[in-house]
This record gives sequence, C-alpha cells and structure tokens, in this order.
Amino acid sequence: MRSFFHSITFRFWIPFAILPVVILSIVAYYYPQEQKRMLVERKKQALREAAQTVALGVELSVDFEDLNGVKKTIEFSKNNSDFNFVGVIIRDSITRTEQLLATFPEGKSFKEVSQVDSSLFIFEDFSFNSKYFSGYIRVAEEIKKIDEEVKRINKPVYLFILIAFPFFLMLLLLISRTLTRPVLRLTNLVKQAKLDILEHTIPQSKSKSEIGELQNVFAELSETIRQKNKENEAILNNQELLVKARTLELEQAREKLIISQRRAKLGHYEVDLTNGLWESSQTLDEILGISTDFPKTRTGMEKLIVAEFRDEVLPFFNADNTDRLLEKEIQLFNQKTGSSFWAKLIGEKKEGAAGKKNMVTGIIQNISEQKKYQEEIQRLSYVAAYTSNCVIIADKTKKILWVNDSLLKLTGYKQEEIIGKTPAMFQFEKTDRNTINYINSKLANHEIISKIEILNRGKNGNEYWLELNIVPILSVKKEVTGYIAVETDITLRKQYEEGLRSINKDLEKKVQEGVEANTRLSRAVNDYEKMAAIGEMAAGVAHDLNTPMSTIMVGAETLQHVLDQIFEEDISRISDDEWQAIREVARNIKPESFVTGTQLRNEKKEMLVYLNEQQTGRTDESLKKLSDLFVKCRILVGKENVLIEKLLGFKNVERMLRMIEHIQTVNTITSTINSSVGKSTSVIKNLRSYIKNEDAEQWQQIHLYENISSVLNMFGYSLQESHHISVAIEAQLKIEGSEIKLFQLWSNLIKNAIEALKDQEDKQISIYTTQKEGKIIVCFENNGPVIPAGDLDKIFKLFYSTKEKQGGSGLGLSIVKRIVLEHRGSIEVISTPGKTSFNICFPAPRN
Amino acid sequence: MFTFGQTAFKDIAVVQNQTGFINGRLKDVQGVFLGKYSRWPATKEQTTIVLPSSKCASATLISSVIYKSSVKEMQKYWLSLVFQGRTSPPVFLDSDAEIIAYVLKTPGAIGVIAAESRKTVDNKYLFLFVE
Repeated sequence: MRSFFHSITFRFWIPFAILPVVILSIVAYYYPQEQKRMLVERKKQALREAAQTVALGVELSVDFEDLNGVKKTIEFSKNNSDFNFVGVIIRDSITRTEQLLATFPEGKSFKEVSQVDSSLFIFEDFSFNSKYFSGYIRVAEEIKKIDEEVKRINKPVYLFILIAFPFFLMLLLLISRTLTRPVLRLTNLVKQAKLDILEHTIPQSKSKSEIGELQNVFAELSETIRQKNKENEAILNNQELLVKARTLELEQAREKLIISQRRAKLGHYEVDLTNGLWESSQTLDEILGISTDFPKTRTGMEKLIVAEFRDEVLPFFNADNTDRLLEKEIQLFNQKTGSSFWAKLIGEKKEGAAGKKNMVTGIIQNISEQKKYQEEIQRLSYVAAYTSNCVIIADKTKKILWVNDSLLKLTGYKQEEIIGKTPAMFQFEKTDRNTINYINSKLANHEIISKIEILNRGKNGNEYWLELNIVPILSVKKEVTGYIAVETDITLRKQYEEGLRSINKDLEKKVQEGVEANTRLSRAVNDYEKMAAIGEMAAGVAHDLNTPMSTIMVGAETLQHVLDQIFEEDISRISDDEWQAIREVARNIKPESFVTGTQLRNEKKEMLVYLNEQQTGRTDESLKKLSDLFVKCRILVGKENVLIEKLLGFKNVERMLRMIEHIQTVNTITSTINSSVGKSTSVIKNLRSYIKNEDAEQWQQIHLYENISSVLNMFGYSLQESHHISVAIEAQLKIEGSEIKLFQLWSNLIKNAIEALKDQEDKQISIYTTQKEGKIIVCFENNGPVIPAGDLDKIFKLFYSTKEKQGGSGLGLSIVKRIVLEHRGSIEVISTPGKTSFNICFPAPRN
Repeated sequence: MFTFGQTAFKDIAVVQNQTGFINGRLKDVQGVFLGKYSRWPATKEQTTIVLPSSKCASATLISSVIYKSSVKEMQKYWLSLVFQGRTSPPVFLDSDAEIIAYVLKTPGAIGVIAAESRKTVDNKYLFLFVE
C-alpha cells in the first residue's frame, strides 16, 4: 500500500482525481442552497397569491353577506399545499388594534407565526377592507417543509454524486495506469535486475521514443552494474565479516575498559585549552556525580575542584601555560552528594594545530579508599610503635620480622638481636609447657589466640608475665602469611593477684566464721522467739491448771472427810433392803449446790408438818432430825411423797438418810474432780502441741470468734475488773491459717494492749471485725497512750522495744508482723490521742 | 358567549321548515343559532340557518336578542365560525318576508324574525316565546 502512494501511477492519478473531487464538492455544497433559495422565493410568491385570494374571498363574502364565499376560500386553503396556516386578523379602524378572528386550521396560534423565529416560518399578509370591518389575511408555511422539499429534490443529485464519484476515481486510475505503464515496466525491470542480476536482464528496446532510449540506457547500465556488483560482493562479504569481528572485539574491550575503570574508580577526560571546554568519559561522570546538563566549561571545572586545590591545578589548563605534565592528589566535589573526595589527577598536553599544545588528555581516579587505608595504616603503625603493649610481627615460620620499642624495653634486647629469631627465645624452664603446646596447636589451626598468660624471661634474667593475643595474617587464599602478637605486661597484676588471693583466703575464713556465728545467732533468736511465746502461754497455762488442781485437792480432802463420817456409822447394822433403797435414792436424786437459807428453812417446816401428819409415833426431836435430813438429801414434800413414806417404813431411816447424804456428797466431788482433770489434760495437750509444733503445717479454716475467745480466756487471769473489753466478731467469719500461730498473734496483741494500759485507770480494749472489698479486717483497739509518729515504722522491727526496762523483749510485734505476712495479710497501726488501733487485714478464705 | 336575553324574547319568533326540529328547550334553541348543529338531531337533515342581513329591518333586534351584540359582531361571529370550517354558512336575507319564504321552501331551514312579522306564517311553523 505504501509503495502505491509513492508510485508514479499515484502521482499521475492525484491531479486527475482532485479535479472531480473539487467540482463535485462545490456542486454538493452550493446546489442545495440554491435550490432552497429558489423554493423559498417560489413559496413566498405562492403564499402571497394565496393570501390575496383568501383576502378577496373574505372581503366579498362580508360585503355581500354571503359567507359561502368564505367557505369556498377555506376549501381552497384546504386544498392548497403551498401553505399550512391562514389567519384572519381584524384591525380596529379607530384604535388600530388587531384581533385574530379566526385561524385555519382551527386552533393554530397566530402569535406563534408572527413572533417566533422567522427562520422557522415564512409568511405573507394581504389586506382586505369590507364595509363592516377591515383587516388582513396571513398565510404561512413552515421552513421545515421547504427543507424537506429541498431534501426530496436533492436526493437523486446526491445519489448521482455518490455513484459517480468512485466511478470517476476508478476511471481516472485506469487512465493514469495506462499513461504510466511503460515507465512502470521499465522500473520493474530495473528492480528485478537489481534483485536478481544473473537471471533477469533489461531487454533492449527497438522504440526510438524517449522511454525506449531510457530503457536501452538502463539495459547497458544494468549490465555494467551487474558486473561491478559481482566484484564488490566478494569484497563486501569479507569486509563485513572483518568489521563484525572487529566491532565485537571493540565492544568487548570497551565493556572491559568501563568495568575496569569503574572498579578502579578511574575515568578519562580531554580539555580543549583554546576555549576551556572539556569532555569526560561515562565513568568519570559517575565519579564526579555530574549529569548530562552539567556545564563542561572552565567554570564547571572550577566548581568541581575544592577551593584550596584550585591554584595548584587550574593554571595548568591555561592556554599559555608551558608545563607539559600534571600529576597531583587533590580533593574534588561529587556534585550529586555534595561531598568531597580524594582524587588523583593526571594530565598531559598534546600537540595541536601549528605545533601548539592546546589539548590536555588525562585521567582522574577516586583514591579516597586508598587514602583512607593509607591513613589507617599510618595510624595503626603509630599505635603499634608507641603502644605500651609489646607488638611482634612474625612471618609464617614464626621468625620475628619486627618488634616495637615496648618489647625492647621489657626484654632488654636490641632490635637486631631479636629479628630473625622466634619468640621461643623469651621462654625458659619456668615457662609452662602446657601453655606453649596450647599456643602451637591453636596456631597450627590458624585460630586466634586471646588472653593467654605466659611467663617469659628477658635478656637480664628478669622474669615477666605476659598476656598474649596472637592473630594469624591470612592471604586471599586463606593461607597464613604471618602472625601479629600483642602482648601485655601483666607482671604487676599477677603480683597483686597473688596478694589478693592470700587476702581472700583470710576473708573467706572470716566470712565462714561470721556465717557460723550468724547461724548460731539466728537459731538463738528463733529459740528466743519461741521461748517468749511459750512464756506467754505458760502464764495462761499455769492459771488454767491451778484452778482444776485446787478443785481436785479440795475434793480429795472432802472425800477423806466424808469417808471418815461413813465409817463412823455402824454400817453392819444396815440391812440389804436398806442398802438397796439408799443406792437407788443416791443415784436418782442429785444435791443442789446453791439453795438459800430461807428456802431451806421453809422446806424443813413443810417436812416437819408432813411428818407429824404421818403419826409415826416418833418424838418431836426425832422428827426434827428427820426433816433436816430429808431436806439435806433434797427429798422434798410435794415432790417425793411416795419415797418419803417408803423410807419412813424403814426402822433405821435416820441412819439411811445420813448415808444417802454422804454418798451424794461423794458423787458430787468425784464429778468435779473428773471435770478438773479433763480441763488440765486439755491445757497440757495444747501446750505440748505448740511446743512440739505438731500442728505447724496444718493450714485450715479457723473460726475467728473461737480462736480469739480462747485467747481471751487464757488471759482471763491478767484481765482485771478495770479492763473493759468489748468483742464484736461475726460468728461465721473464718480465715485460712494456723490455729497455733493465730493464737500467738492475738495473744501478743492482747498482751501488748494490757501492757499499754497498765498505768491507766480507765482501761478499754475493743476487738471487732469488718469486711471490705472481699477482705477480713480484725481491729484491736485500746485507749492507751499515743505511739509517737516516728516510732510507728519501728515497732514491728525485731528487738525494738519501748519497754526494755519493764522486761519487753522486742519480739512481740515482730512476731505479729511475721505471722500476718505468713497469712498473706497486712497490718497497719493508727495511733491518735485516746485511741491506738492495730488493723490486720486477711484475705477471705477460698471456698 | 352569546346568550338569550329574556327581556326581548317576546319580540322575536323562530320560523322553521318543519315541526319538530327543535323541542323547545331553551338550550337547544340557543345551540341552533350559535351554529352548533350541522344536522337536526331528530331528522338528521342538514340545517340551514337563516338570519337577517344588515339591510333587514329586524336585524338589530334579532342580533341584540339572540347574539346580545350588534349586527357587525354577529357577522364577525359567523365569519369566524365559517372560516374555521366548523359549520355551514348561514343565509342572510334582507327582510323578514324573505326569511319566512326561504325557510318555508327550504327543507331543514330555520330562521328568526321579528315577532310582529309572524302573522303571515302558519302557526305550526312558528316557535314563539312567552315572557
């Protein structure tokens, strides 16, 4: 397709084709417009005539009062396709106002026709003037209809153009092809000859026309070219191969060069001294950090060089400078990063035209890394040379290559005495063989040796301790090329260490002794604590034991007395029946301990009256004795009448009653002794279990009320009448803990309170419990003297006591604190004048 | 629109070609002379309205009674109606006698005259209005 547009046929065809296109375009544009104009003109004429006809019809109809004329007019209008609106407008002769009387078709707006855009309608008016009224007739037609008419008329024209246009183009194309055929044929022949020179040839023409002559010339030329081509082809083939190979080599070389330059951070430049303009390689641009828009002028060059080096470098690039070579280490700016770097600048002037040195070529290499290493090496060499540590550099056979002054100073050798020898020269019989073997094995494995201590000897026989750090120097192939040893003189440290070791031994011994002493003290304190607690308990225990023991003792004496009385009676004179009755009565009737004297007297009176009524025939004296005995034995009138009568039936009733009284007394005393023995056993059992700590591990739920009550009972002997004790403990409250330890806790707090109140007349102690946020708080309050604020945090400390002179051990509250903590609780003391409160907070027991 | 004026109704009479064109309802009589019927509803015959021309002596009376306007306005009314093709044109005659004669000879015709001119007409063709 593209070749067609470039062909001679196309070029011929174009002018031919343009002409009909232009003509047809003009026709297609102007013809419809002209058609429309003519149609409008014609339509206006028709409208004018129609308006005239209608106006005449109306005028005549009105004048002759025969509206048939109007009917005819309407029929005329209806049949006339030239217009689609007709209106009668009456004009008032006086006011000149207009009134639309009627329109046809009916309902069409007169206003619409007269006031709307005239481009949509065309209309014509014609006046009438009848005898009754005058006005005018307006006839109108929509432009749209005219446009439709124009379209209808133009349709065949457009169709003709549409069909004719491609036909014309094709026709013209054929004409063009015919005209250009000889030229094309010749062109094709030449092309074929060019493509395949051996098989196609341009035939000689016999025509004498211009085309024929041209063909002949081409035929000859073609032949010549064919021969030349053959020759050139061979040469070209060789050349092409050579060029390709060379190009490849050059490309590779160029890439290698760029890579090498990048690695070496080296790039080249060229400066034209006549105008100061310069060029640089891609690698140099990268080194300098410059982009393509950087000005490669003398100003740009100045911008690249750090100010202090400009005077050294820039004169060389002046045109009149006679120096041939420049080689300097300078600092340049990297334009991208803005930082400076060290670079090596080399430049050489070249001969230009007329023998002038007007060109400089050279290289710039970034040597920052080398500089850094150089400086680093310099610093390291300073360190090695002047450090207080000894430094030895040896080759791979451990022969010493270099030592620093510190080593010479330490050993007393001179440099030349050491160089070429191995470090074994410093070792002697005291040097530890194991250490030497260890060093050798490590070095054999190319491993680093660090902090190895070794004893060496100097030239003058001075022994010294060294701490060795040896690093093998490895080549790129990981082969050992030598060693660097850094040795610290630790002789002094060793001496100190020896001294310290001896001191440590003494200290250890002292510490051991101290620990033992502390352990003993600790045990003593523990025992003391326990003894103190036992002491507290013992006082209570003594009280508890004292009462029952006294009871037992009194009981025993009474028993002795009763027994004496029983044996004073003539027991042998009591019959079996009488014994039976005595035992029965003594078993069933218990004596009452507390009966008032009045009651006894009344009971005896009643008994005497009763006995008199029985008419036993006894004397008054005898009856009186009997009544006394009955009442003593609690055999009373009204209660035991049957028993009384039964007893009165016995001959020796008096003796029997005495025996009953004795036996009742014995029963009472034995019962009391039993009870006292039980109490004593219980007290002793509790004391024993505490002393042996039998229940120490028993962690159980403890009833607070019972636990605290038992303590209060224990302290009963210490509490005087002046102590007002109020206890308000919720009966159901329980806490988890050890009964014995809690016992100890409360007893210490109560004892503390009793001691605090010792010198007061009014002694108040109140113990109560509260619950807050799921915790149980037990408060021990007393109205004792206030505890000074400074002492509040000391009172729980071990052996802290404010009553040392009164025998305080300083243990009580420390025990309290310990027990509270053991029970996962806390204790606080609030002391204000008139009230000191110990609030102990326990966690509520788990369900 | 025009309406019949009750005050002058007794002064006019309607003459018809045939009995039964109209049923005497005022609305129907009104409709006839306003050109609402092109055919009689009863007979389906074509209607012909006959009215006095401007030369007729009763023209002013009739136009004022029936059309409540001048003769000129009556003419304009009918011109408008006819021009719009809504009805056939009425016949305008120069005297009541001509009207009577035309009505009586023209089938489907109906006209209006001055009441005083009715004497020549058989009552069966007349339609009179009582005040």
